[in-house]
Amino acid sequence: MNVLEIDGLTVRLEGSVGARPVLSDVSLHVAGGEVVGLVGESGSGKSVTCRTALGAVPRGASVDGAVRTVGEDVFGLPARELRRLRSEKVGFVPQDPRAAVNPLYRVGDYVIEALRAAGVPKAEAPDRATALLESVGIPEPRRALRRWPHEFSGGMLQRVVIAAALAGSPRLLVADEPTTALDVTIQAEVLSLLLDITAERGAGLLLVTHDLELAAAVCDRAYVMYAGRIVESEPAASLFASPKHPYTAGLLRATPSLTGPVERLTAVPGRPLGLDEVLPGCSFAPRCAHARPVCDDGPPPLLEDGAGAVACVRAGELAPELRRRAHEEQAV
Amino acid sequence: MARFIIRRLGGLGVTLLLTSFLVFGAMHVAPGDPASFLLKGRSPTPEAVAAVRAQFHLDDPLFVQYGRWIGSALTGDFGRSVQFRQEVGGLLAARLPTTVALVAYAALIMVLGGLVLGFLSAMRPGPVDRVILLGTTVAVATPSFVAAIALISLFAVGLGWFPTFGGGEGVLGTLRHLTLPAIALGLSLVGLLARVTRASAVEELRRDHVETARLRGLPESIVLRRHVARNALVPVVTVTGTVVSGLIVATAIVETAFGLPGIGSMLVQSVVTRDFPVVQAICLLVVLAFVLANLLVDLLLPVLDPRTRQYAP
Ligand SMILES: Nc1ncnc2c1ncn2[C@@H]1O[C@H](COP(=O)(O)OP(=O)(O)OP(=O)(O)O)[C@@H](O)[C@H]1O
Ligand SMILES: [Mg+2]
Repeated sequence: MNVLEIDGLTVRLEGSVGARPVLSDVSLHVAGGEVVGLVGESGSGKSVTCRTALGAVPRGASVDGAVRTVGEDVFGLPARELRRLRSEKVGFVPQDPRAAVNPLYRVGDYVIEALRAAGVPKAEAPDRATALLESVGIPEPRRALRRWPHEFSGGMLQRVVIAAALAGSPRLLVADEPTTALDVTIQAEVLSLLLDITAERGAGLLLVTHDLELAAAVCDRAYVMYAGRIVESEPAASLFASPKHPYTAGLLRATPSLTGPVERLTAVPGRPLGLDEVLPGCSFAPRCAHARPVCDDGPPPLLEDGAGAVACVRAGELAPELRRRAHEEQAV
Repeated sequence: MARFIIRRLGGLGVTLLLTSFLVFGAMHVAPGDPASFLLKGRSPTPEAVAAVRAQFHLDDPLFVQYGRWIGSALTGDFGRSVQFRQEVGGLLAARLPTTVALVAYAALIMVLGGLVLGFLSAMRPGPVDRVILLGTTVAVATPSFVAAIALISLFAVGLGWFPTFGGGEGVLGTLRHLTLPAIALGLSLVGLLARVTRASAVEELRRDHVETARLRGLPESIVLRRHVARNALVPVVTVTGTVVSGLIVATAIVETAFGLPGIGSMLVQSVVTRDFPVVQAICLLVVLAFVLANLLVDLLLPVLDPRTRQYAP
């Protein structure tokens, strides 16, 4: 069963007539127990997408399309029900725990607040909070409840945030770049904690990242976003071995590898499309080495292709070359 | 914590000593000779002037005079008022309660009004915010003497709800007599505090942890109370501390306008008549109030914000 279904979602910011939407016709789904990556450069719309899963859109934005989270149509829910969905059925893990935790309250308050919002009685909350902190590997969990956020390292604080996200036994976890703000050395620890916990509970995980290699390594499937559109979706393994969209191929080349030499790192040339830039055709065309006049004939539709889908009119003819180059990259 | 308080009290003593010297020195470089005021109305012979100067030790070096003054001030003896021919200590003690009550009343109006208007304004963008913004702009720009005149003519003379003059008897009488002065005193500061509160709350509303709190499904009442208002209070407390001690100075105008027998109106009279011992004592009192208010804020901030605690050994 799908715990998240985003269907033809278009989000346009307030007063942005003429400018392109932040999200254009985005569709994705996450099944229970599945880990799904959402990958793309800065500004591509990853954060906006994952916030819509929680029923949140930028203030004043106009929304088209549907989002069903754990069976609920989030945009049709009354405020009370939306709040219940957020506190009981979905867990949100933000990017920077230091910014996400109110510094004026104790660590325990952050978790207890979440438990109370999920309907846990006041008397039970501290014990439940202790158990949650223990389950995410916080040493001396009972004492940790009484400590202050500024006494915790970023990694420990992100564990607290993850613990609080589990307060309502969520069926879906939404993690917006959960390790980007952390020390490299502890990124892996926190990520594997997140993966273990979602696996343990059989929850779905939507994992936002700009690291394609990471997504390929830990996800079941991944979506690649560019300028507010999904340009490719694949089972993670084939994403890495045979990228179908030139942008995905470019991202793979831009990913520093732990095994390969440093020179392999070549950023995707050019810069991401701004929100005020509207192109008649493919948004990636100006940066694409394979662009042809045909690319400017309207936005390419996302078409099924094997186990995945790709939005590139030249995908068929480019496939062999992109696959060959991906293999060369990995062979180095 | 105890060491922190002791250190702060030490600093407080040094501040008081320095400012008391400045106050004392300033009196003596100010134009106008107290001796000539004392002999006002008579045609002073040089002998008479010399006698008065000797009586008030006006010919000693400044440091000696200061030493004598601060020495007795420490024992609670601020000398005799030239104007009233009474002990300054007794004069002040008789008038202090009126001023303290007035300042407390005005501070209450300021804090309640400022917080309510400020938070309301931040949390209800649109017409409510604009009306409050307009009101507070007018309030901030209204000097207390203008407010005093307007309030007297409207509520005291026009509607007759409040007395125009004097201090009043008993708790209720005092409250009735102090209401208009307290409003006159606090009005522009209500505006100021509302502005500070609004700015602070608007900033907190934009914080990541507030967005996260909403995405976590916390009830809106908890988000606003615990994560917006509570955090916005930190800068507001700092400003309130400074502003309340400033109120004491502003009582000079309001007490004079409403004919209240307090410290402020006495300061005005004493400056006019060059009654140095009284002016000095009041100045010292004001400085003491400033320093104490600051100490209070410094003690309160670590309670409000745990992050500042690690710096207070
Ligand atoms: N509340 C908002 N108001 C106005 N513009 C917004 C808002 N939220 C997002 N945007 C714009 O929408 C676009 C997509 O933003 P989004 O945060 O989803 O990008 P992202 O892919 O998460 O990038 P990053 O990797 O930097 O987090 C950006 O151009 C951003 O400026
Ligand atoms: Mg983002």
